[in-house]
Amino acid sequence: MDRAAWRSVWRRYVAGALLGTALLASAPLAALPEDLTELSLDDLMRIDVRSVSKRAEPLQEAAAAVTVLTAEDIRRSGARSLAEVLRLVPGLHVARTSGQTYAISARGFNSTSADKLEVLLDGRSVYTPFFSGVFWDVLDTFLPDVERIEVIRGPGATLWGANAVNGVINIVTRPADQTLGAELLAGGGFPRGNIAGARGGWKLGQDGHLRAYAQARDDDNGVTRDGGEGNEGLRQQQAGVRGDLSGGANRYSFGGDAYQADSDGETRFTNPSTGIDSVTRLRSDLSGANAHGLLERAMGPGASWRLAGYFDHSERKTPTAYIERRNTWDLNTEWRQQIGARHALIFGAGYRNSRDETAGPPQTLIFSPSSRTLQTYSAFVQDQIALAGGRGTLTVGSKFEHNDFTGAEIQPGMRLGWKLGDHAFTWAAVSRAVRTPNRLDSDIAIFCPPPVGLPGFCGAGETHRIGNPDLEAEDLLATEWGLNLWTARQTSMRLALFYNRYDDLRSAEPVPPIGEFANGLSGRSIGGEIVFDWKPTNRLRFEAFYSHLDLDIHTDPNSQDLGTPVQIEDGNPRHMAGLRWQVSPAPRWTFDGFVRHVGALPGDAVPAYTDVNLRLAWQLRPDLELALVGDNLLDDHHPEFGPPTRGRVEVERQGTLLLRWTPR
Amino acid sequence: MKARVRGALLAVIVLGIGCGNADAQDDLEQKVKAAFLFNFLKFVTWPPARAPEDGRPYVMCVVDDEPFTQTLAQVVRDKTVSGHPVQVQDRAPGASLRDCHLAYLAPGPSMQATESALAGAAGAGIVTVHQADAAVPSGVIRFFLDQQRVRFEINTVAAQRENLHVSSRLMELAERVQVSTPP
Repeated sequence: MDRAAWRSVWRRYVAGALLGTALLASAPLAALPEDLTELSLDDLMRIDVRSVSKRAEPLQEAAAAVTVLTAEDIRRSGARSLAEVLRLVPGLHVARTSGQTYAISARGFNSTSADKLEVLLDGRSVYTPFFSGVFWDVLDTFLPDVERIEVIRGPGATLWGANAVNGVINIVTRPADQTLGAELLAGGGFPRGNIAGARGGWKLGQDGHLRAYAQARDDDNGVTRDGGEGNEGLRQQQAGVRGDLSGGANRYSFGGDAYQADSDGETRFTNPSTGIDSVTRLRSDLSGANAHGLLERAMGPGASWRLAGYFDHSERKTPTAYIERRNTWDLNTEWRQQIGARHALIFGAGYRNSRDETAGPPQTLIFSPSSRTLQTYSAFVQDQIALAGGRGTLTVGSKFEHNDFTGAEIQPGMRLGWKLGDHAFTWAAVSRAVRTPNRLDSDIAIFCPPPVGLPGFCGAGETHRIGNPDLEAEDLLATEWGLNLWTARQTSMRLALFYNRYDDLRSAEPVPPIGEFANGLSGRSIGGEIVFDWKPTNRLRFEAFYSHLDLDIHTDPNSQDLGTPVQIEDGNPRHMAGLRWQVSPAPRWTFDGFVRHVGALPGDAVPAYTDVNLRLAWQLRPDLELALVGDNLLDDHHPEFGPPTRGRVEVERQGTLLLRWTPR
Repeated sequence: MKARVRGALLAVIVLGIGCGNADAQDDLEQKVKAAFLFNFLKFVTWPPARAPEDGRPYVMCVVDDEPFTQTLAQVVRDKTVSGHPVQVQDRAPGASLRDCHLAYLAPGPSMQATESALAGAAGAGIVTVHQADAAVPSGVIRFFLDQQRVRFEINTVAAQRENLHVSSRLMELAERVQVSTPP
């Protein structure tokens, strides 16, 4: 096969692939920016210039519930942090629990320590084996450098492995050749919330590019129910670089970030046997640094190879509550091979080593052992098979993983996509995913500090283990079905339905005096998301979505935990809906908005709420944009998550003036 | 009140659909091509004798396609390439292209017309961009459509002859051909 032919095969089969790493390779374009020179050459080559709907096919023909937010979606949302941007994603429950912490989950099981999402930033997994979740308070980057955010609702474990149980969020920044020159971002918020950031981009030799950014922000802290001051929010400084080089068949990419933050927050602990809350207000010092590298090499006809690795260091010091230092390094490799016209094979292997150190008493949350190294070995294989002359695509694969808690885990999956003519596509999938135990599940203990201990829990100086080293992995068997319809011109509809069966969910058994984790729960969830997109002209776009979730969790015969099932069922909204628009009423003016409705969380007495965010932007000069953003405009303040303690932080109405300058 | 709101909404929708029809499909193809041309400027290095002096612009010439001149001018407005501004000029067919850094030939004219226009520009260190049905010896870059997507092909022989250095990034994405001037 000559080069042109294998390129075309590559594009047709691999770039259009369904899930997983395939999505990393293909960038479905949801909407085009006004200025097409903002796009990379690869993106330009993907635009279907003959369809007014301007959606690249891969998104319509992806056999999964996928949403892609483009750089333009991000900019026009007016959001100042990654977590806030995610509110735009249909079916994702994003709840702000204080000035800086979030509870984010897809298809249920949300909490501030939600543990069923895999989140990647430029290929670096940002969930921590500490609790299998993401510390959203320190996950950020210079937003104008983000190229796209891909969100998959439903399991992605076949490729991504344990933790990609209910969804995958993949954040991809632009290659350095797309961020040449300077860009400055400054925002002032009322009543609070400020941000300032800058990025510079340069050529690096003949075929390389480099960029560097620095950013500082302090976040809105919210208010309490009675309008009093919430906790103080977060102050964060962050800087990072990314470089991209190409030479012949090779492509290299490297980068890194460092951040430092301090925050005031509260730690809450509910005693499972007494149901009593204990709340402590705490100050945190958070810092971290990471570096990543990637080598990609075309290996001749229909084949390519990549090697990627990263190192991640993080420190979280919340004196009297817990102190954790963690070093993680990860190395993974992947081979793609086109075999004949029908098979696109991807396989790979990886190793991850994560070592932590935690502090013992007098911290309240302690771990036994206090320091532990967790190793994960993994391998995966996936074949994408073209059926019926390309009308159908069958994807079968599995991840094989070995972890230190439960040993070997196999996570197979099967997806079938089928074209129903030129304007319809349907898909179905069955997959297994597991959430493996983490440090918190296995090793956590409570130290009850003198002089009084934790009133209602334990006496001074006592230590009680809650973690259970014998926990099994939580197990999901997911069944999904989807239908995508679109017209040749302006509209599209995407429907995804799911039925998930969960077994061995973590329970908190009321073993006196405090409790112990076990695998005592199981249940099912049924639901779906439907998204309509209408783009009548280049200057007008609407998206509407509705998502439904019905959770039914019950206690297994061997379990006494009656509280957690209710907490799970009542801690996630049954209904969510949104309407988003992007309008350019006049040259150089844009007016964008997002109305969202989130159903009630009866378990935590969080009422349903409807709120609206608006953004009016004026392109003052070609290099200068001024935007006025209003967030949560319908309410003075409303709670989004968490038990109704008196100190529960509520999200406030907020105005922000944002300036974006790209000096030439 | 309700009726008025509905009326206004309807007007917006009708207006929107009206605009939609005005945004012809070709419009997008033109914009994509214009964005590609701007990228070509970024990824090609001219020999020192041909590179613009400090403060002088890169000159992009559009031959015989006034609407595209407008589109391109809008796309590159206020943009710079390695510190140089970018200028777009409209050229009549047959006019000299010697002062252009990049020359874009509208699709349409016969293969013969394209060939002769390109031959006239050969040897002057110009990135000529054409849209003939096949590679032309004197043309450096050729646009073509593949599955409704804009693609491009680089004639490496012509690029070399014009002393143009094409970055490997661009090379990687291009189809490559070697078509030399017949003796």
